[in-house]
Amino acid sequence: MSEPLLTVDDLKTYFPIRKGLLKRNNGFVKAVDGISFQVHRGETLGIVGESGCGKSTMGRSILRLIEPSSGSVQFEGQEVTTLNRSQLRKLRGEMQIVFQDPYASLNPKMTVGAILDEALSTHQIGVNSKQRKEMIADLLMKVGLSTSHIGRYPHEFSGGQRQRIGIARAIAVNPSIIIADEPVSALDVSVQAQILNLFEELKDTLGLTYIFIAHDLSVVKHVSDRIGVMYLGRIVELAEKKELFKNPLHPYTQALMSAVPSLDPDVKKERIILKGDVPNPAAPPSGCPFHPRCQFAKDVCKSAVPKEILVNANRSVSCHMYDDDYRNEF
Amino acid sequence: MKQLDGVNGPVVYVEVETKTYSKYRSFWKKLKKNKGALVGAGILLFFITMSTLAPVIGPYPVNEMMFEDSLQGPSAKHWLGTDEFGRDLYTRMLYGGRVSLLMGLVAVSISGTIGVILGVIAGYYRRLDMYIMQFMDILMAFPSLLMAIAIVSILGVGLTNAMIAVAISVIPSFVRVVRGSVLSVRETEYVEASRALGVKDGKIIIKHILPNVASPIIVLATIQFGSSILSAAALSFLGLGAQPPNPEWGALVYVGKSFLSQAWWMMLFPGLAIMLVVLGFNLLGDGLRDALDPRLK
Repeated sequence: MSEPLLTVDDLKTYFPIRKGLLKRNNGFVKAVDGISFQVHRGETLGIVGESGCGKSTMGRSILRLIEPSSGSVQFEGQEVTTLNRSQLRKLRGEMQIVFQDPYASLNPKMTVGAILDEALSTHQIGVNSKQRKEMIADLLMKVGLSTSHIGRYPHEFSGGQRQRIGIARAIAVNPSIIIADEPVSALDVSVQAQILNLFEELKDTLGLTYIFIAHDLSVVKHVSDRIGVMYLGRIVELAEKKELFKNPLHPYTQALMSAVPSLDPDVKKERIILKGDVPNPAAPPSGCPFHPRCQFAKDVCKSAVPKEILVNANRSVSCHMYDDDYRNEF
Repeated sequence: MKQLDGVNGPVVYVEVETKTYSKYRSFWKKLKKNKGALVGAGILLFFITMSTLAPVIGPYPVNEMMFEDSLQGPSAKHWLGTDEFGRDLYTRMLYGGRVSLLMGLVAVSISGTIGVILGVIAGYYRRLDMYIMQFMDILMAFPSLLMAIAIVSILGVGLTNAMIAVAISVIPSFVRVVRGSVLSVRETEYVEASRALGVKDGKIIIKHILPNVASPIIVLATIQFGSSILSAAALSFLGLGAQPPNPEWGALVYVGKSFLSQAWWMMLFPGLAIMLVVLGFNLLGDGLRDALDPRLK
């Protein structure tokens, strides 16, 4: 396989908990706790997980919108985490983000034209404002808006149209990779489909690569080539889309899959109901973080943190059930 | 053009209207539609014109004493009456307006500028936040008048120093309001989006932060304008601001207080002037805030 476009290795983002008068450090919230994966050019990596599992923090840590605590992020072989401010600013043109809430991600006091012009002028795209204006018109057409929208303010648009503006801002600087942080979860279902189709269309025409974060399995299934399942700051399973849906390995993935409703009323699926809530990331359970809710949990799960086990070249899972050392315990 | 969402077909564009927006034209249009703002601007314009033209339209020399006319009520000869020395109150108010309006304007401009700068620094660059805010809290711990007196006693008595003193005593309230607003705006996704684009901090502050914290700043400035005039008046009364016989609205009110039972006009008219100017500023400020918000039509 070709060189990966983006390599994330053991990425950790911890938030210190400061309490009391002296602001002493009382432990950490381990929002992202050792994530590793690779993204290849032209593919879409889906990331799913419950709310609070660290999906968004992971996306922002890769872009260094939140500074990661440790680990490495390499873009085309270049280490991102050690770049200084001006180097990072240049690289920002290569990696972009589309936000979840189209109502919060556009400055209410700026026109659409000004929002897009900021993106272009920051990266010195277009020699003068006239040329940039043409490019902005072109961008608006690309995302399915019209050139007459250029002078309007964000509040004059619907949610779907606002998200199109957010997408236009992200593609304005010709990035290679876009991190889409739950870009459709704030939209109506009918509009979701349109935005997802826009993502696909842009991927084909502009040769984009996506990391697509979502909590909706059907959305992720629709857009992704590979899917990573996150639980409490870790990726517990990473696999090709088809394999993951056909044969989920990790007990958490199995539970997630069993929750997908079937279109055929005659198919009776076995529902795996998870007990309890996602544990507090400030005080994660010992051993495997999933063991308090896992139906297969054994003693070993309470003590040992599961390793990432390569099932085949494209598939990994972090569970003792698939570890040769512990397999006989299950 | 309006886009009709086509769920199961091609997206359809329909030409509905072509709006061309000029930011400033729409600002004026909205401001002109706001009756309150117009009234406010009218009041201010009236007082500013009157004070500017004081030497031309004032019927008497400002400090001329006519003892035979002392403590006269409003009449054809003295429109707003006279004070205990027989000085014409109308003339004195025209001149006093120059001092009071200038006081308010200068104090609010100084404190507003410094307050916004410090507030943005504290709110945006969190590293200095604690030091700036603790210093502001210390300043706020003193009653503002007491602090203004302390500053005047350090700098020396006089109008300029009184202005500076009032300005300094108002700074903490600006810093607090600005810092709080900046804190909430800097966490918004549109600021994050700009950081993701690699926009520099200075540009983010000017293009994203300041426009979105403008409303509370404008409202606070209009309120502080009134209270600055009052603080300046109090300083004048204590003999630390405008020096007698120079008139100043606040000083006129305080002098009038001692003659309230004999000469109601001495206190009423300067007080009314202060009230109207403050009202004018508040109305104009509200109008400005609304006109600057593109979400309000």
